[in-house]
Amino acid sequence: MDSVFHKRRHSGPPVSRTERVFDGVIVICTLIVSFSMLYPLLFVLGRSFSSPDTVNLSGMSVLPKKWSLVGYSFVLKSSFIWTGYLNTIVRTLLGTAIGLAVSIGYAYPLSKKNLPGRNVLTFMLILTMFASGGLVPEYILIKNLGLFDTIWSMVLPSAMKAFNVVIIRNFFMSIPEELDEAAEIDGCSAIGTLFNIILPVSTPIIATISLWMIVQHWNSWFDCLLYMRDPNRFVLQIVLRRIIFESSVEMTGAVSAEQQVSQEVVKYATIIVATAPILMVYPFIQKYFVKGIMMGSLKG
Amino acid sequence: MFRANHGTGKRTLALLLVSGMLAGLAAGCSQSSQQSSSTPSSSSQSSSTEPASGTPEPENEFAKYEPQEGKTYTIEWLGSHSNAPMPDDAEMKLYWEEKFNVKFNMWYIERSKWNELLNVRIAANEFPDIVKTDGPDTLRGYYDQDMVIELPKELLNHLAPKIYKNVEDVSRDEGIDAWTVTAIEGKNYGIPDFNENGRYVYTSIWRADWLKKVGIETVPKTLDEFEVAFQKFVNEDPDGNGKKDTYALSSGRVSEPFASIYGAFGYIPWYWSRTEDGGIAYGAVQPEMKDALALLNRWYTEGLLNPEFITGENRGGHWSISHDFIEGIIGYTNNGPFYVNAPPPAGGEKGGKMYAAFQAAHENDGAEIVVGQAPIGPDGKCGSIRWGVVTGGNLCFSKKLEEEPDKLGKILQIVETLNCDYDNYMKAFYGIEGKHYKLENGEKTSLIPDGTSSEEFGFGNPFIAFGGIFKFGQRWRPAYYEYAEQYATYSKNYSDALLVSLPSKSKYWDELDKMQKEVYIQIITGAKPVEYFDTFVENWMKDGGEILTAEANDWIQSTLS
Repeated sequence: MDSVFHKRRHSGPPVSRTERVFDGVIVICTLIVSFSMLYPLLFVLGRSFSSPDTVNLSGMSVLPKKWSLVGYSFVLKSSFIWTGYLNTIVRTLLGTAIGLAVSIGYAYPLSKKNLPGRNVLTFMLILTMFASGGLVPEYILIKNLGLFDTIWSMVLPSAMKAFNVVIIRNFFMSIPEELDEAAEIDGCSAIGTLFNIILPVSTPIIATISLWMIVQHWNSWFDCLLYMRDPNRFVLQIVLRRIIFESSVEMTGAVSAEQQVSQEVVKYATIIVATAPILMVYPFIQKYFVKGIMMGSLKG
Repeated sequence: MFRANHGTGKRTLALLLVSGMLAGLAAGCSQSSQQSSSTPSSSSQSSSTEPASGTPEPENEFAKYEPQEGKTYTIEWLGSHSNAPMPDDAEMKLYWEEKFNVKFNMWYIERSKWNELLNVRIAANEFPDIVKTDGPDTLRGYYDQDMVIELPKELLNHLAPKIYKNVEDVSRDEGIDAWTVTAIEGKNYGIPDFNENGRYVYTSIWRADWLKKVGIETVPKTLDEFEVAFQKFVNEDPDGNGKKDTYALSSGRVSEPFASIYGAFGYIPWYWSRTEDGGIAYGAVQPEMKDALALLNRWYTEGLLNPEFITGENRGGHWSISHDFIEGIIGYTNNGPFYVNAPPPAGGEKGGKMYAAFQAAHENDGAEIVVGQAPIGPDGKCGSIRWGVVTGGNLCFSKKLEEEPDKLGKILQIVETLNCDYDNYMKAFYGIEGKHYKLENGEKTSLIPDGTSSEEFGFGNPFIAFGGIFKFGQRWRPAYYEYAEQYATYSKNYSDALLVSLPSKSKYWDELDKMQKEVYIQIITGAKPVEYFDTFVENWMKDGGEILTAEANDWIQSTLS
């Protein structure tokens, strides 16, 4: 926006009053939109630092009435929270890596128009988008494969999503074939072309798909509940759900008076604990979006 | 050269792809064939034991249920919903395993997804030996899938006489046959479960400082006294800010509006109640409710009701907290069970949830709570929501135990030992005194580290399988129950008398329920005249209410015989 004003002031015609008002309105609108997007986040952040008794009484204000770390101490002191974090991170990294490898591995051949049996392979892929085996057969399959209580039960079933493959394939197809041919003339193998030529120009789509996979792995917990029996293998989301339940238990007597932290504060603190890492990762991935889009593969 | 090379490259890729997919297919196929081959073998096992059972003498029939000495049973156990999974080496779990000479395989099913998760495992032919269900419908579902074993009452009486006696006692006290919860087609399939706190009605609380300000010395008891206080709350500026900005009351919990007011007229509108002639009737269509609605309508026009009553008093947090009351908008509320409103020591160190929240918001401004009761109506009727002792929850056992009757006997003995004896119950629920908790003057303090759950130490909900009424609580926290007896008096009439879901419920209920809620609000706010109540009753009966009432009466008759 700065540069826009800059240009106008020096080279453009003199800025009229109405134009300034117009710009002002735009700026105000943008501010309102960004505020309405930021507000819920700040609201939750503020509440998470609030003391239990005042958490519901602060009205619209973002700052808590009384500051307190009680919500965080409740969440971060809980058992299995750190193993949960570790499991989630391992699962996210491994799951995304496997997911990307499998999806790209399927998408690249499919993007070639002269692939034998291409239609059949595409059909088989698309079919999985509409007809899935269902939860029970999947459970039985995982059980009989002996994957209970292993990380593979969480990363393998979700490794290949037809939708992701189609998106990647479409991106590959939009890359000019001349690039492939040039590589082949230079003696590059099919695999070599993929790694040395295609992938480097596909960073935008890879960044997008990875982000989807990261978020999906980060948030999922139901599969873990189904396939994991050992609490040491539980992912963060399950641990956090348990903490929320525990903060809201009614008179089981198993909770001491000090532990009777208001459920609300714990909820807000939980939201921050669960989303902070993803929020922090996002700007770094966003960098690749921009870079990838700006880097044209064919110049001139 | 170029072409050929190109072609082979593509073909290698295709080959890779196809072989990968074939491998996937093969894995799937081999698993399914294993699956199908395992099913017949298990069914042949069960059929081979059938001839052996035959029709033996009655004593012999029970004899096969006697646990074998020295045999270590492995029990798949799913008790009350646990908050966390129990580790295999949890301290108290090892204690019980040694004591009973068994191995517990503790199932962990997450509470919020209980049915979903359990159903997947049932579909995969996994079922715990013992499982607690949340109601007769769930039990019925297991029965339909042929998962649960029949548990004749005589057998239960033989193996676990204390449990049997408790169910009989509760049935007598409550005036309702508790076995109806677990009865399917004339046979018994489990043990009904109870809730001791369900004996008591919701308590009412008042702003003591408001009452004093408007010159009322004693906490109002009758409906007339309530009305006088309510009018003063609205007209005499009890908060002293010079503005007419206070109301007397709001609806309470949004799903249970004005319960204490309706209670003064003898019914809770959304509950089924027992009638004097031994039948059962739906509260909302009783003629007394017309008077209650007329009164509420008058209060609404006089400005006693918070006009925002439709959305309830709670705005987040625990449902029992009335924000209208805490923020000084209203001066009376009946929004939760007795323990949330209880001051210390009855409500614990800081008092119940609602009490503590109120105190925290009004530390030094002289605002005070006084506990009262639901109003006494013109005919002397009085009460509010009562959850009821018979919850509909129950305990059932796996059909697989038909092959191991001695194991069923062992499990029943364990349930009885754990849940029907004070010392064992305390150990199973709270751990070891002095190590996991300490008791001082009826105040229990947990000694396990913050942020850990009781399950990690092997106690808490999971081992609580049968929630009988043994008054164990009265022994270690008498203040809590004294308070309950004083303010939340035992009054049978205000709990839902219908424990099962009626056959035609799915056909009519949604519409009837919607109609009732709408009409009630319309009459209170004056959008429809009070006389419209008669039309409502007619419509309600016509649109399926009559059929449901008949079904409910059939059910109650069947349980009484």
